[in-house]
Amino acid sequence: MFYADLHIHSKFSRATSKDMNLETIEQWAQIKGIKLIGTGDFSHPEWLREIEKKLNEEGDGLFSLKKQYKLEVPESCRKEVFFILSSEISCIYQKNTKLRKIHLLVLSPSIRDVTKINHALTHIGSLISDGRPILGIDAKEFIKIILELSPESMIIPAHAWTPHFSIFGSQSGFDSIEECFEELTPYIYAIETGLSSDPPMNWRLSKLDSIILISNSDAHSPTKIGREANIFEIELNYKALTEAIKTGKGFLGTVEFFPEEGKYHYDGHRACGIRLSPKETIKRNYLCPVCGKKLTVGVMHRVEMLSDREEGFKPPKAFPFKSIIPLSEIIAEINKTSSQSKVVSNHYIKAINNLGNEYDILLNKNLKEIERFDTLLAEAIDRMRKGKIVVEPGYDGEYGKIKVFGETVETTPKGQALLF
Amino acid sequence: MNLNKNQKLAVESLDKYLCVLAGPGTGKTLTITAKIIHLLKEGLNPEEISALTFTQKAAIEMRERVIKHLDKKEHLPFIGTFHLLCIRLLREFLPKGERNFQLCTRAKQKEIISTITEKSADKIIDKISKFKNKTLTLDDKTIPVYEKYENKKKELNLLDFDDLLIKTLEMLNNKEIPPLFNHLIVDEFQDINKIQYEIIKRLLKETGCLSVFGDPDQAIYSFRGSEIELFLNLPADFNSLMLLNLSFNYRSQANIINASNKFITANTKRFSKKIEPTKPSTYPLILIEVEDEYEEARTILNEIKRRIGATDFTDLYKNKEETNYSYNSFAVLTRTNRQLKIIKELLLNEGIVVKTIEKDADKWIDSFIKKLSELLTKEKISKKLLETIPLYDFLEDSGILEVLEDYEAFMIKNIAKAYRKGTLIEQIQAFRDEISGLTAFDLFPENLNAVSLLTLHGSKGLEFPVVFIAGFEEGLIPYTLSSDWNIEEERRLFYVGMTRAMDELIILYARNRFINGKKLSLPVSSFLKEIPEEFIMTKKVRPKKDGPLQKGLF
Repeated sequence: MFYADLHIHSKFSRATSKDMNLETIEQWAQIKGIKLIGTGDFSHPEWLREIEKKLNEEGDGLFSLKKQYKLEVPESCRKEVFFILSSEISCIYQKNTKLRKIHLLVLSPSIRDVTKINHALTHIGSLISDGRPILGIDAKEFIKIILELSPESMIIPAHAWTPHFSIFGSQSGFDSIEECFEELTPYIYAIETGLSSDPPMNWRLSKLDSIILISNSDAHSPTKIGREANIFEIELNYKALTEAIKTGKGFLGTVEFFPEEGKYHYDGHRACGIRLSPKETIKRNYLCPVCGKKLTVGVMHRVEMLSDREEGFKPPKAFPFKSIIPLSEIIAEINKTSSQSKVVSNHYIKAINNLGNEYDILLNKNLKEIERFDTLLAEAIDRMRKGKIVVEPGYDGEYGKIKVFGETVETTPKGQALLF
Repeated sequence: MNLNKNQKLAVESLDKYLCVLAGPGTGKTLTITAKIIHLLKEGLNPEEISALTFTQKAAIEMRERVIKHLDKKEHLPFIGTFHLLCIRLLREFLPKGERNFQLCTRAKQKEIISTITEKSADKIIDKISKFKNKTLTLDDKTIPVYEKYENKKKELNLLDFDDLLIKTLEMLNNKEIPPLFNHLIVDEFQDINKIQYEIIKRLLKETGCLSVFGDPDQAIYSFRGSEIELFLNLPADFNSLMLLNLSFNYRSQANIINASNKFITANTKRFSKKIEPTKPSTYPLILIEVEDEYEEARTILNEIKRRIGATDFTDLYKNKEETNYSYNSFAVLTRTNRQLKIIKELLLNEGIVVKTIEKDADKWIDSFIKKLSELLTKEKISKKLLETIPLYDFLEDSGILEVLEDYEAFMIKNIAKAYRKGTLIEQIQAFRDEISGLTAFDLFPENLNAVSLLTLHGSKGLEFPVVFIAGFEEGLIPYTLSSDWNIEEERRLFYVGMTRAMDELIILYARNRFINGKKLSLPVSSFLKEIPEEFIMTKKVRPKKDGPLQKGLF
């Protein structure tokens, strides 16, 4: 059994950390407990050059970092990491008079396939300006091009519910997979649920019963790697992985963010400090009570609109999932400080050194063992595993807040109190 | 088809000489197509009808519409360019030995000239062309080049584009080609030249009808020898001329129509025509003053970005004014090709796809024709040549289209669709004649979802929801930096640019700009005064104090 995070970005994507190089990604994958990680950004010529230079092609569609590039990793976490060629494409185009903005994750089996794909894409958009290139073509046309050139490649709609850039997005998405991909719909085997939705929300759409729900971090910096991931029990090669996504065989489910913590769980207006539940939004006719403009409709609302089942429904074939809170956030809450502080990072390193990688700590480690290291941490992880948490949902780009101990709720960064 | 009153009159007119004044966005192509269909339905023999267009693109569009409406692919009337018509006539009426000429394309012309002289082939080709059209006398140095060029063509059995027209007219004058058509329709009549005019007159049967469509206010090709006077003299030339005006504009919002209507009245060489908007007024025209060409490009980028909205998460809270526009909703128009370079670089750098009119279309066409010829020499294929296989199927099977870009293949296939009669070799010959007349303009990938970067000339016939006209400075618009400029033609050119816009027209001028290596501070265009102020909103882009603008170089 291993964890896989298939969607991240390199330093060549906009608004990403300079540390998103192959060496650091490999290092942090180990710290987090991720065995298989996407390279991200294979469509970027310079990033692809780095991939070719620093990784060994294993011949079965996976890659590993050459010895001379390996960075120091705490002994407690040291494990082999494999890379899979992945990239994210932004399709921006008009369909049925509406502007669509759809992000798609692409997985590919070899450098040769990727070279062919990139060559075709250079005629459609500028690949060099952004690791996640914008292409002015229909998502359906895109899938056609990719599958013609590289039939083994796989396309997965990314963070499927995000309001602005996704297949079901409230702002510029579609109401169904068919509306977007038409006769090519059978080639969509999976969707990424994104941070703001979890499997139970997706189970409410009967149309998604045949679709595998996967989860990835979409990390822009090393510490965000593995904030969501997939669990597989398969042989480690490209074919087995894509087969598992196609058939569900060997796919054991996902590791999830609490969806409330995602940036687009609820509705609202970040600039106005307004957060509303779907019901509230409908009551206010989708208008912001502060500025009077249209509210950004979040993921929960969108699910409500497209779903054909009541909340709580669980399809018989549903895969299991586990919800986690990033370890640094738990430590920050215990220490009553921000997760970016020095105190937290010192404590984090200590925990990792003593107990093992982050996933192990959060998901598998015996509580007694954690207790011997830090009793409060053990208590927090116990609560997290049992789902005993206090939430303040995210909205319109503002991350939600998750507390395990449920102290008094803070105000938003702008200092404006929330409506409730 | 849904036609308005005057469109219907134009379609059904029985007048011997009909002139339809069709301003921008008034449904000219629709009306012409409807007229062709009407004539066919009235029972006219397709062989006696001919519709002449100025671009291959227009011809293909009309053919498609006619085919769709009649639901039959054979027995179509001739719909094509002047050049194609001339090729067809010459292949039919020239003495047997001369009939098998090939077209001397621009690329071939260059090739020949470059074996004769080291001077710029483009300039010499232009001179020779003007000379042949009797608008220029040759200087002593060019005469020997011209003679050698003509000899070489004769030797290779080639005819250039001018030869096609001249030869056809000659044969018409000598009664070697009889008047062939009972109904002639001519599109874009304002762009016609003297020789074409004479050809039309002589091709029309005594009992035949002539319908011309056009808009003198959009005549912008005098540098190619077209003469607006030919249009303006029509009433004098044909006594019984029926003049119709298509007056409803279906393209642009009212402010754009009203502003451009008023603007063009400053010209004197024109027919007064009425254009009424059918869409209500929305935005005013926007005039933006910028520091220099770099800020101009950046302003255009920002305006496009604002309308597309965020393209990734980092943009979300900067660009909230989303519209339903996509990249192909935008066009940037300039007076000269060179101005587009900086804008193109910046947009590409920011990941925005652009499309331009590629200058090396000639080469592309030449290499395609070469490949086609090579294909025919293959044994397997040469056996098929006398069979009656539709050209379209043959091309699909041959694999020759696979190496083409999507829009190129699209164009080629559309042309091929019209050929299905006769043996394969006959079809290929006719098809090759048509392909060799393709221009860079025809190959503009209209459907590609990208921002169009075009010169004002190149924008003709196109339309976009949002149009930027950059470089609105006296000297560039009107272009007075060359010796032979004509204020009325410059005004028409700007009018063409304005009327491309459907929703928004954004005009930019820079306080400083490098032109031909010199930094110039040109005043805003004098055309500004000719657009009523009530339609314009002025904006200024304040340069940031420590921004990246280059200042104080001089």
